Amino acid sequence: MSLAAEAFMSQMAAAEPWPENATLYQPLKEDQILLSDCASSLAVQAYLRMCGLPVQVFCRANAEYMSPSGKIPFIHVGNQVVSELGPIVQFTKAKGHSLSDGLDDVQRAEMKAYMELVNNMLLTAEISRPRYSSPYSWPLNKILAYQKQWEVRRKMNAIGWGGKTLEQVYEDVSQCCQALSQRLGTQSYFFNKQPTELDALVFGHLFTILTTRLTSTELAERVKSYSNLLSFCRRIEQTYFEDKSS
Amino acid sequence: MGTVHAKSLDPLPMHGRDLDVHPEDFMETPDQGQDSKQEILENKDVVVQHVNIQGLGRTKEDLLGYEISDVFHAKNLIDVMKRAHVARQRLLRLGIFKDVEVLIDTSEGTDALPNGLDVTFEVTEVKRLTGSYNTMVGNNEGSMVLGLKLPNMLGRAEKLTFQFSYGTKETSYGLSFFKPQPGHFERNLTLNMYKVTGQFPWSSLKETDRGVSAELNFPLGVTNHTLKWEGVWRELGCLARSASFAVREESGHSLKSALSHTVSVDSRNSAIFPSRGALLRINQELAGYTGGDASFLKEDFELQLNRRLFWDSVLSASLWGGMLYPIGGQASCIADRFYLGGPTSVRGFGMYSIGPQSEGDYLGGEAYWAGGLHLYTPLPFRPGKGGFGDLFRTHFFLNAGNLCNLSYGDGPRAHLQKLAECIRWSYGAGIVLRLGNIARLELNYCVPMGVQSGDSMHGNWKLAEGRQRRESGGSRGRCSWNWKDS
Repeated sequence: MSLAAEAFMSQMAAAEPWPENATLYQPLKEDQILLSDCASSLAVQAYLRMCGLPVQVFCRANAEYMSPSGKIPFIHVGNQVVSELGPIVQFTKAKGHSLSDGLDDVQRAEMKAYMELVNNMLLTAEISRPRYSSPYSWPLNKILAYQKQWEVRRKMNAIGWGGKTLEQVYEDVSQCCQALSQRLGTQSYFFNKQPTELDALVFGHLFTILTTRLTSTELAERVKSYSNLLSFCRRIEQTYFEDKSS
Repeated sequence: MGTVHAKSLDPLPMHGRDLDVHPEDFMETPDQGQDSKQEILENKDVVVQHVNIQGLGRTKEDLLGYEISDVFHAKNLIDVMKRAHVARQRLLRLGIFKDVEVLIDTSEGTDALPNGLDVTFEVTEVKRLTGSYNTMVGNNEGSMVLGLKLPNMLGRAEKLTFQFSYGTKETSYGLSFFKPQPGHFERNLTLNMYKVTGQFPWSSLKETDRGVSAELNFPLGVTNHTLKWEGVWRELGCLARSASFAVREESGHSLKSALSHTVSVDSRNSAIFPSRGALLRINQELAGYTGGDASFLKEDFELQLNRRLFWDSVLSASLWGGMLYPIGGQASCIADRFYLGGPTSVRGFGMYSIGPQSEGDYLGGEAYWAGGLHLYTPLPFRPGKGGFGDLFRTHFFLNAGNLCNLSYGDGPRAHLQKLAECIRWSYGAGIVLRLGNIARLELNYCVPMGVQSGDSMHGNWKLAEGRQRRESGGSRGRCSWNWKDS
């Protein structure tokens, strides 16, 4: 879409309040969702809960193809469809809900830098463990699974991770966690007492790594060695997720 | 009628392969002389002793024996000419000869009878490989179409065709193998492999189909049957960012594996402007029992009756309809549903723009019916009669139709009632031009009536092109690869 059209659409979006029937779409939990997609989806859900915006989660086999950008998760609000955390944050900001308003420019730049770090390190570490199987019937499931693996491999090569061994990937993850742990220190959230989108993003990724039922628990062990990150995840889970299920 | 040479009694050298056949009966030999020439030509009995085919290269002989065997039963010269003509038509319809000439001569050689005749078919085979190259421009895109055909590939009228279309927006290709049964050309097998993309702006949908299909055609009495298995990997996507959410929900991949059967009876004398005869075609398709995600039973039919009235005018009545039953509780896919509206079905309404819709995108329906009553007359005052003017007709028409979704569990009575409510109909007049034998161009003045909310209409004047109705009736059958004998 052209810039002018996008600006117009965001103005239209700003005019309407957040409806009750907003929905979020992600792939099927059991056999389809990739680790990275699960993390992204959890990050968006955490962010929306932190903003106090109600959203209903639907699992669809074709969520990836329904999304306008091809990435998940995406939200359907009114008659707008927005995908990925970055645009969703912009979208909620246009509606008047924002978590990072209290930050000054230096902090905002810092927040963006950490978000990039998380995206580059943790997201790609998750991609290197593909788990794509398919709810489709034969031979479509084989074809699509193969296509997905080929896409992931191509992306890895493009960012230079193609040659990395598992050990190197774990090392990178450790370093990333160390940086995050240092920044968090003993605070409740990354920036003072209020959660921001960085908290949502970090929670999404770390929680997924900790609770995944994948083959190796090496990644989870590396994260668990940083106790303040562990308590950070537990805190967010208790504050924003458990009260809903009670 | 082709070229038939009926030679005199002058001797001619014999060429070509002899099919080694013998005369069946023996007649009295007439006296030689000038007046006997007269008798043979009129009604004197003759015997066809040899039938030869000259000019064969890669074609196998056993295939042709069936087509020409009837010539042996001829009893007199007029009969020989008629049967030779029929045999020539049969040889041409195989599609493997560019030209066939018939030569009828008296028998020569040691076993020649005085009233024996030799019939020779001089054929020119088509080239082994023919190609075509076209460029097409339209609908905001251009494309280059390359076609390759290998006719008579293995000598028994098999045909391998490959078509490749490379465009600014999409690429499609298809490979098709056709094999008739020797001796029964109407029984044939076609194997297809294709990738086709289509864009449907009325639903804001684009569809990419990759599929294989196997089709068996055979006649049974007056009916023509087709049995087909098709496996298609369909990929649906939104055509625009502004597509409605209902269409967005249908995006993604699905696999359809379907068996279908079509029976048709066609006694019309022309496909585009029939003046007499009738057409009945019934098609059913069952998907899901041979694998795949899509699971449904689809039925549709088409009926057309034509009758010539006073003053060269023709009255044509047509009716078509169909139903889609999803099996197994899942909802039907947008790619399987029926669509209605436009210059081929209910004139006056936008192309496929009748029925259930969401935010301007037409979603199609699970049941439909449509009917038309046309009166075709020659142009008033008949300009250009006998030539160009014969391609035109004026027509007065009355179209009606309805398309809706059904909620099963209400029973058939409720279904019929639903289809009878809110009928869309239109009437008008216009001029029709026949394009070759496959399409027609119409300029109509049309008044749509019974318009329901959500339907889209055109202004009253409309210029439209319509092809011969495709095999799958009102549904979106365009993504199956149809090969016509060109």
